[in-house]
Amino acid sequence: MRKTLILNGSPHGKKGNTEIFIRKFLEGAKEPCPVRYVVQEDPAELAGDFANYDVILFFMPLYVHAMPGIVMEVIEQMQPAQRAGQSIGFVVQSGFLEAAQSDYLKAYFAMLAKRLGYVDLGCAVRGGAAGVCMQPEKASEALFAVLRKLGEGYRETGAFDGEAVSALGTPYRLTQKESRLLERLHRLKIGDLMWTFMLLRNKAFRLRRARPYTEE
Amino acid sequence: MKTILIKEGQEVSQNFDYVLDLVENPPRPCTGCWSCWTRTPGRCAQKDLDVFYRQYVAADRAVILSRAVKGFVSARLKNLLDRMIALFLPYITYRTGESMHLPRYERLPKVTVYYEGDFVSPEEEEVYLSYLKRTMYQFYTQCEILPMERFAEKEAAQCAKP
Ligand SMILES: Cc1cc2nc3c(=O)[nH]c(=O)nc-3n(C[C@H](O)[C@H](O)[C@H](O)COP(=O)(O)O)c2cc1C
Repeated sequence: MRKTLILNGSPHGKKGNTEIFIRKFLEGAKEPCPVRYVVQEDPAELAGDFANYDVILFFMPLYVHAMPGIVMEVIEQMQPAQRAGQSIGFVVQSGFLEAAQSDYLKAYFAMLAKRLGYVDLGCAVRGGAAGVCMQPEKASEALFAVLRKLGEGYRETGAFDGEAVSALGTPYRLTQKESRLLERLHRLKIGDLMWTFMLLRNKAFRLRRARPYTEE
Repeated sequence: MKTILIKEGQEVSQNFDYVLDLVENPPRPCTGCWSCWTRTPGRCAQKDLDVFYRQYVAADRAVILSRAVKGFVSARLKNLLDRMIALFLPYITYRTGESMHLPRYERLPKVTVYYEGDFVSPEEEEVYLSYLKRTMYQFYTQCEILPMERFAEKEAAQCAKP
């Protein structure tokens, strides 16, 4: 396997969904490789170390339609690729169900790879992943199998496996039928059960629609 | 008409009702703690933006001077955008055919973004612009995006309005 550095771009570090994505990818790759946590690092130092690797793989959650601010802090410090063939790849997971939510970020990463002269391994995207670290492993078995396949393909070819990327990226958009059904569940207050549950547990349900910055 | 300014170190001679300079006062990054949605609804657990939030939700207009870095919104501005989720509800509607959070406030200010940056290609600039439009759309915010050169002329005209 090419000398690879994996970055975890989640503010949750080891305790989030991004970490689970990385672990399952590495199970498939079957080779250890260093993982560094953007949330704990100095952005300039971290970006400076990219020169020591053939491949940089960024894993991160989608934050407001793009990368978390802490990941942009690292990108700001990145230098152009240090030698021919140095590669960069991205794996993004998000809360909303549709993978299409990450299209804007995906487009930006393609521009970034070009601007810095990296070979672009592409951007694999997964929607509907906000609950992965709260659910039992079993509930995500199909997802984990695809992530292992992504890791396995990476070890064998140095690229992202097309089938795995497309499986992760499904559903890309909601069909009209799906969005109508989901809207009905939302109106029946069933769609938002996870939030209701957390609000209740925190004794904050009564305040759920509060507007604290206009109230005194 | 209450107008606030969010800028990234630029010198500005016009008067605004409130100014947040992201270079002087970089917002702390969102920690992903979900307090603003599940513990203290609408309120961010970090206190560094409390004054900003109050000013923002009370404003009619917000002017953002964005200095793009590596073809994207700067980390400083991105950290601010990440922290805006406190202004929305966790609940998700699908009525537009895609997922979208519901607004928490009845109205939010109209936004004008003036941008400058070292874009290396028209495609890169287009990606930056479409990202901003996307985000403002999901923030239920009417938004106009103009090159920085237009700032002096446009905002002088705005200030002249009664
Ligand atoms: C500030 C913030 C912004 C987010 N923005 C989006 C978004 O625009 N679209 C989306 O689908 N999910 C969004 N999410 C949800 C996260 O992507 C999702 O919860 C993810 O699984 C978190 O991964 P982590 O546990 O590794 O941090 C956001 C979460 C936070 C905290």
